[in-house]
Amino acid sequence: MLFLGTFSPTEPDAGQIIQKTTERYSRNALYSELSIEVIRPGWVNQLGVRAWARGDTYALIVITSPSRDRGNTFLKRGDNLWHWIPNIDKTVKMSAAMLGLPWMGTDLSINDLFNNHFDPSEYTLQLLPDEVIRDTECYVIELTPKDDVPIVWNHIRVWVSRVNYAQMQAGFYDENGDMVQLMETADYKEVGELIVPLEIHITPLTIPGNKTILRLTHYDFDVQLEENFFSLQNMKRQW
Amino acid sequence: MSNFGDTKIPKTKLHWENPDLTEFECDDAMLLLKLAWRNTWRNRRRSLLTALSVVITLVFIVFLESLNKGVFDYLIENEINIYSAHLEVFHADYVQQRNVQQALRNADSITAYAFGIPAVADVRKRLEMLVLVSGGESSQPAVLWGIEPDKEPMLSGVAFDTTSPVSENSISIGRDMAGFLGVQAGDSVVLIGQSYYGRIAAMHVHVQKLFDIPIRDISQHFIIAPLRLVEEFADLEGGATSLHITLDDKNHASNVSKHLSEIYDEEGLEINSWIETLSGRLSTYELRMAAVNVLKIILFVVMAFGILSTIILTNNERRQEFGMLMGIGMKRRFLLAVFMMEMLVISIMGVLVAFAVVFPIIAVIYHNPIPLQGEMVTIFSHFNVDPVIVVSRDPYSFLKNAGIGLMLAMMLSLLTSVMIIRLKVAEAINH
Repeated sequence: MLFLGTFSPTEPDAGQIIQKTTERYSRNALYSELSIEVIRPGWVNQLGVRAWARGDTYALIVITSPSRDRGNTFLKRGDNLWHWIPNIDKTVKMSAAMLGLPWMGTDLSINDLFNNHFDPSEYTLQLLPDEVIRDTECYVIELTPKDDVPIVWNHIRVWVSRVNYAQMQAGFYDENGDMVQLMETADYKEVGELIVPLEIHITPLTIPGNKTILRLTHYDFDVQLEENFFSLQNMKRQW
Repeated sequence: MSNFGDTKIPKTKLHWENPDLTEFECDDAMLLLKLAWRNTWRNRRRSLLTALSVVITLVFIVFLESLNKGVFDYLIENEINIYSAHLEVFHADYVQQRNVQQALRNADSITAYAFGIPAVADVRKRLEMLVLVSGGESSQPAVLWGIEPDKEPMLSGVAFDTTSPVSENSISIGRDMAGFLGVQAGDSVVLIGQSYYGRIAAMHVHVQKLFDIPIRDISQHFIIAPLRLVEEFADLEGGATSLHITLDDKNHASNVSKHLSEIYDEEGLEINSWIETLSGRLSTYELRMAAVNVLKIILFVVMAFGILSTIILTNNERRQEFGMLMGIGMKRRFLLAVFMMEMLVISIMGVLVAFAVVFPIIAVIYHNPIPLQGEMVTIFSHFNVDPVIVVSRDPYSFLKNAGIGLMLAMMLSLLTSVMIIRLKVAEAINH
């Protein structure tokens, strides 16, 4: 019986773990203020951002600093992306591909800003032996994208804390099996049912010396945002 | 009959009377020269004709070379002034990717350092980036080219209306681009691009002038702007995508390049000298010089035949004289020396006359370049370059060709030496 106890039937499988971590992350609407630090071999630069999001579908992002970029606004509605450029008073419709590409000189894409969780239906999951990350025992799950899903990575490995189901880190691998990007989270905050990492580090491993650190300086998970909040008119408001 | 006898020769100095002496003394050399000089003027016409073939050949060759070199140097010098300078400094990554994010951030400190190197005359910064330019109803990609107007007078003369100071918000676009965008001078256009930090860069700018560079690529795709504007646009104050270093003497390029790359070893600089940048032009030049060299060979052959005919004539006319001289006891060796000296005197005379003829011509053209005619004038003036033909004043070219001419004359006179060596005295006297 003791023997059976160590292989407890309550031990979750990969799908359940991902499901659980997703539950702990996803929220309906979110208002946040972010400070993004871009680190490059020769320089370090700060970017201040205010963002409103509703699910994965809607997002409005306003740049607040530095002053030369202040007021630049990005609107995401599904796969559509617009950019309002205040100093030439123009709204530019951008291609959907931009949602997944590095944004404003950071190592993050707009999608990365809001969906740092994985949809289990898009991947084949495999549970690997546990590992210890920063003194925390973690489940290790390998996610391999299904054939028809447009995801650039060959596979992704996610380290999920056994303690609070927070995603401690995620590694993104290319077809040679080399990790090309590493995402680490830190400074967890419990907000009701949610576990929120206040700091996210993105390190592209192919370019030495590059790193982006995202800090959540202010947040509100109780904000009520209607669909029509995410409109082209609202983009041009002086936030 | 020869009138050799009219030369007054001191009895004791006569070399051929003293068989123990194997080397000429100084006095003998003077005597030799004196004899050769007098012999030269015994048959003036023959000597002058020989000298003339040397003169004509040298004048042609030197003029041709100096014209070719001059025109080419002028073009290279202009290209260096307008576009490339003697040394171009980039970040090594920029050379590969041509992206403003690989610009030289510390361009100002490199510039300051470069100014401390003695051979460096000037350092010009350029900041070049890809942008989207939008005006009227159309947009198109373009190269935004930031220059320092006061340091690049030729280019800014083309690009801007320099009668009024160039404002920091002014750009100049080509006529073809203006046509496509549907804008005029005085209109406003929008530039959109990416800053050094990878962020959006957007700006309203004022088109001060439409420039007239008759190269379609440039006229269609280039925007020339003051460096300050591009620095602000790229959010990169004090930076540059390239530094253009001009030198007091372009032959110092490799030294300065080595010096800079050692100091800024860790920055990963790529330094190209004008020889690398203009390698295409230089090979064109070498091809043209090869053609000039073929012409040169032909001219030298013509000259050689001129001299050869004189020598053959001499051989026939003076056979009896030579026989007689040897008959009265002149050493074959001395006779040979006199004859060689004669040829040398004639050739040197030719060289001197050629020098006297060609140098004033070159000097006059050098100081008063020949103006070009026709369509070339408009092409040159678009680049703010004087439409003229210039010549090079390189004394080395003259010395080199004079040397070749003299050597040829000497080699040909050896033919006569063979005749003198084989001369049978009795036969020659009765010739």
